[in-house]
Parts: sequence; C-alpha cells; structure tokens
Amino acid sequence: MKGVRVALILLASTLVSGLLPAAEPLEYSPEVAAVLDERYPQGVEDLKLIEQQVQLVAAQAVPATVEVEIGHNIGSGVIVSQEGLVLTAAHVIGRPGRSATLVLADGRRLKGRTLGAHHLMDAGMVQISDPPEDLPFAPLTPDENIVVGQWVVATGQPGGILDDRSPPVRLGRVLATEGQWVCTDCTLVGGDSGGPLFNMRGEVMAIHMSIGPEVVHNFHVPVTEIRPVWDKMFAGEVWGGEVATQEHDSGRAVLGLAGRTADNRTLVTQVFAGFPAETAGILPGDQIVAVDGQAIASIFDLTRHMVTKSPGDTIHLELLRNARSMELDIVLSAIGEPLPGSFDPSASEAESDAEDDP
Amino acid sequence: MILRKSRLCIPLGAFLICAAVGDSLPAQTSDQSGVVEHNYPTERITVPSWRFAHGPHVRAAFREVVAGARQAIVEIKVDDNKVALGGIVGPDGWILTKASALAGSITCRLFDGRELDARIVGASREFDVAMLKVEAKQLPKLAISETIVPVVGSWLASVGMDSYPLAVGVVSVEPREIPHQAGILGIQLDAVAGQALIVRVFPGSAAAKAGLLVNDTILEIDGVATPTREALVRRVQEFNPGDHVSLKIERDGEQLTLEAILMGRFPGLRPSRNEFQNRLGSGLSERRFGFPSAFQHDTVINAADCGGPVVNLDGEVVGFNIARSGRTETYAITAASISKLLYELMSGNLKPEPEPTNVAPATPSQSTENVNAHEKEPEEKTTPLVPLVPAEVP
Repeated sequence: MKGVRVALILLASTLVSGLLPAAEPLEYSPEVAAVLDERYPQGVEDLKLIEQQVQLVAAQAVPATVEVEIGHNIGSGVIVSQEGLVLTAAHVIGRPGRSATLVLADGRRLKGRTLGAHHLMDAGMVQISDPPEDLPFAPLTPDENIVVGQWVVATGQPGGILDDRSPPVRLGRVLATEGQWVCTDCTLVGGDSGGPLFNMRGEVMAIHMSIGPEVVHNFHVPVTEIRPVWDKMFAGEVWGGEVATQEHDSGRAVLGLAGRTADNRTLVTQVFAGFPAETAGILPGDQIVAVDGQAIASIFDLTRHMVTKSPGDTIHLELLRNARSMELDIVLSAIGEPLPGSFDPSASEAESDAEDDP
Repeated sequence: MILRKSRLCIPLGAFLICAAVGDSLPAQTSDQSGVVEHNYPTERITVPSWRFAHGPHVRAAFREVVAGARQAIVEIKVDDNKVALGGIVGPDGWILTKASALAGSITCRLFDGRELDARIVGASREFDVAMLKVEAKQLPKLAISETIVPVVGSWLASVGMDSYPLAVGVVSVEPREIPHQAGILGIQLDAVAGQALIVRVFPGSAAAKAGLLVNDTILEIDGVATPTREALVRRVQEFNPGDHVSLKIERDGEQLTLEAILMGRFPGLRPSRNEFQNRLGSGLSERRFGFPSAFQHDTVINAADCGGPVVNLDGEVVGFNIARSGRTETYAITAASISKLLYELMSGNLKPEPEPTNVAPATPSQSTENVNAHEKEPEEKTTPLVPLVPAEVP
C-alpha cells in the first residue's frame, strides 16, 4: 500500500519537474525527505526513494555540466545562469580575459571568456560569450548549511570529454566539512576540477577542487564560500595567489608577492604595495630562479621556504628579468592585516566562525 | 604554503580520512599554470562508517536485493589465488567470468563451499568474458534481465557471496563503446631485417615476462602471421593492454609458442599524472580499454572482484562487472550483450586459443641485462610512445 502511494508521488514529481524551467530546485515528497534525513537507508523501500531522487537530480545536473577548455588546461564547470555564467575552479582558468571553450553534454561547443578567480579558495568564473536561448543551467543553493551525511551528486568530465560519454554521475555523501571545503565520497579525478556538486534538490552546492590518496578524499569548495566574493569574481578580479596572502597567518614573515609556476618557470604575478617585495623593486613578470641558494622549481618551493623564516630575516632572491639575472637581498616584514586584494575574512560568516576557534 | 591547520575532529570513529596529502585535479594539462596546493585538513578526520554512501550500513539495506543472486556467485581462483568473481548462467556448471583474469589451472569455489576444477569452454576477447564449465548439476542460476537498460542514477549492487553486496554505486553513464588503447609488448625490432627480429627486450616489459629474448623472430600473434616489422607493430596495436596473446616465435631454428600479457605503458616510464590520479585509492584492471559496449558506474570495487554480476534494486542482473577502469569508474557489460553471447560461448564456437607450449620464462640474458631503458629511449618500438607519454612527467 505504502509502495503504491510512494510510486504515485514520485510519478507526480517527475511530471512536475518536466514542466518546470531547468533551474528550478527540485521538490521532493515528505517520504523522500524523511529517507534523505535518515542516518542511512533501512531497506529497499528507502533505497528506491533515494534512487528516484538521484535520477531526477542527475537529469537536471548532466545538461548543465560543461567541460572547460582554456589554453592547455582542461577542467569542468557548471552553467548557473540563463545568461551563461559558468562556475569552475580557479586552477582551471588561471587569470581573467582568457578565451575559453565550453563543451555541453549535448556536444555543443560555446565560446567564452574567463572572469575572476580566487586562487586560494580555488573558485573562478567564465562567461559564455553568446549564450543560446535554450542554454541549460542549474540553480545555486540558497541554503547556507551543509550537513554532514547529506546525499550529494557529482558530475564533471573526468579525464576530459570523450565522444559519446555524457558527464558521469556519481553519488556520495558529505563526510566532513569546514568553512572552505566539503569532503565527500563522490569519487573525482583529474578533469573533474571545477565541476559541480549537487544537493538532492538539484542545486549546485559546491565546486570540485582536489582529491587525496583514498577514494573517499574528494574536496569541493562550497557555494556559500563563493557567494560573499561573487561580485568581485564577476568583475574579473583574480586574487588569493599563493604567496603570503593568507589572512590566517598574522604575524608570519611576509614577502608580499604572488606568483605562479607555468612551463617550469615561476613568475611573479602580483606585487603588493607596501611590502618588502615592492620595496626591493620586484616587478610582476620577474622570474624567480632561486632563494637562498636553493633552486625554485615551483612557487611552492618559495612558500615552503618562507614558512621557515621570521619577520626581520633576510632572504636572498635570484631573479630573471628580460633574460637578465638579478640578485636581491630582502628583509622580510610581518603580516599584520589582510593584504590588498586578499580575501577579506570579515566578508564571510564562515571565516569569522573559524576565527573563534582556539 | 602552510597547510592550514584544521581544527576539525569528528569523534565516533570507525573510519579515518587522513587527508594530509592531496593532488589537485586538472586533467591532461601540459601547462602547470594555476595548479595549486590546497588547504587540506592536516589532522585526521574521523568519519563514522554509517555516513559513507557505500559503507556497511548502506550496503546492509541491499540484503534483500542480493539474496537470490549471491547464491549463483562463484569465486574464481588461478593457482589458488583469487583472481575474479563469476556468475552461474546455466545450472549444469556454466560460469561466466572475466577472461583476462584466467591463466593456468582454474578452480571455482561455489556458494555451497565446493571447490571444483574448471575449464574454459569459450571466450570473447572483445568483451573480455569467458565461459567456464565445472562438473556440477542443479546449481542456482542468475536471472539475466535482457530488456532492462539501467538509467543514469540507478542503484547497482555488485554481488558477492556475502549477505551484503560487496560494493554499491550508481549508474554514471549509459552504455557506450569504450575506446580501444593499443597494447605494448616492450621490444625493439631490427630496423633492417625483413622479419620481426628482436634486438632488445625491455626489462619488466610484457615481452620480458613472456620470456622473449634478443634474436627471437616473432612469426605469428594469435594465429595471424607477422612476416614484417610493420605487420607485427600493426598486429600488436590491435590488442588492448591486458590482453593475453600467444606468440609463435623462432629461436635458434626452433619454433616455440609463448604467452604474453600486453601492457599499456612502456616499462620504465613513470605513470602520467592522469594515470597516477586514477590509481589513487584503488587498483585498476589491466584489461580495461576497448569494449564494444559497456555502461559506467561509480562503484568502487577491486580489480579481482570483476567478472561478477551487478543487480538493480529489483535484484535483476543488469550487467557483469568487466573492469575497474579508473578512480571514478567501473565498467559493466550489459545483460543484453551477455545474453547475445551466451550461446556462442557455450557452444564452443568461441573456443579459446590453444594452450601455449610450456616454455619456462628465460632468465634475462646478457643481451638484455646491459640495456637501461631509463637512460635511453629506443628509436624504434613496437608501438608508438606518443599517446602514452605523460603530458608532463612528474
């Protein structure tokens, strides 16, 4: 008896979702809600209710998922507005103003341009240049709460797009979350970066970021973290570079530059006013070759080296500028307040919460 | 960059996520720009096992789903090592399993505990399935549902002998053709000789494991003549990594037959970033490319658990796991494909290749010992390196 009623409700919800515009959150019945709220399904009846909802979410998630091609980078993304705004990972887009190709699940290839990115958070935006009228898109969750144990669906283009393969759907649950990340057991792999994580209403709740050594180590950036910096990102700002821009590190030694490593060269991308790098005359575009006699293979070598330093220490930098070698001795200062252009903790509720922790 | 200390610690623990190490996700990029390290939690996070989407508590909900099928599950052993699962498809001892897992003497452990010797009656190389026959009667048989095409997002249970499924997941992608990848033998051929004359056998390669030696001439691969260097290269490339091929060779005027298991990567090359990531947390099947039709699901299974059936929530067999193929993916061939193959496999129309003559793998000869594949790339290879070289070697 119960089974029949459930089936009718599910049929109804299927019909309703077929009539709604793509970006409406999916509704679900109290029965489905009850099962999704359980610690775990108790039997086949529960599994069937979950399955029905996952199928609906998948049907909404897949068309809105795109493969993102920018230069040599290939990642994933999700269309979140009729106007063609795409959320992806910062490490897929790199910097603003780059031309991008977005490949839809139905094979359509659309042109776009990168907007802003927060590298520390690893979220970025791409604007589709000429969005077609029938552009599929997915709603963003308005929900501020991520609940451990909640069921989630991941899509993306793992390994890059393949002919005849729609974005693979993966089911998982939120295993843990803290401020800037969500960890789920939706398996991800290279190429999924920037792809969407959906809740059971088919709303985008996070963007795929990184993986760890076990299959249950899959990390995503919550939309709730992106929302406070939305306008800034939309305006094309790129910030949160890798060096000395972390607001959490008050009192640590600071050099005051941001950089990226590409093609085995580590280049300064930003020099912050009022910090030692600027005082020493470092310019964006300088290539960092070595620090204190150690070769720099990646920007992380520099950041790792910085970790060992204290304010007032002197470091010796070897640079290349216009193919000419330069050597500089720089006295480090201390991080006092957030660097210009860095993430503003006061703008995010989650961050203020984190600061309350001992 | 300092990994920001996490203050997170969830007690109740049955499972540890130790996420101090991580790898960011860009695929197939030769441009390292913007590849960033992240704020991983640096402390252990303990997650209760009920919370995992595929954990024991969730799997327990599938008991009823696998109650029938599990009695028709067979554990396939080769030389006493478990290599695959299989499923009984005919009550008189017909067992379907993964072909490339088989070699040597095969035994089957049935649900009732019996261990029986098995022989290969038929095999389909393209689907990588084999039909085994054991001497038994009135065995419980799987109900294969030819008509059901699994819908994306549907639950699947990979059935083992236990009352819980061994793993669960959902359908990720509808059935499609899984692309072929060229296999690699790992030899260098004489550039001048008309025939396929080996001048180098790379240490650790499929060829070395098969016992090929320098100065061997390869005459045939799986019954097809390879009279020239080009013919051999073409022939090897027709196969997928993980395929078992029989090699007819000439050595010191005598003809021998050896069996080789082709590889996907040149020995000595480090895995690409892509392969490295795909192997994170789960071993992959050697034979995982090139299937005429398979659907993809997200169930995390061991490579040695392939060959068994997957069922839907109604307990119907909708496919057979055929390969653990990546961190996010397992392939299953559809019940419809299997149904079409069953008769052919049982009838003997798809007899396996004749057993190779038993030649003990030779110990590395002086001619191969001096070769260091890591130092010098060969100028000629049996297969091109290009598609297999990592875009960026870590």
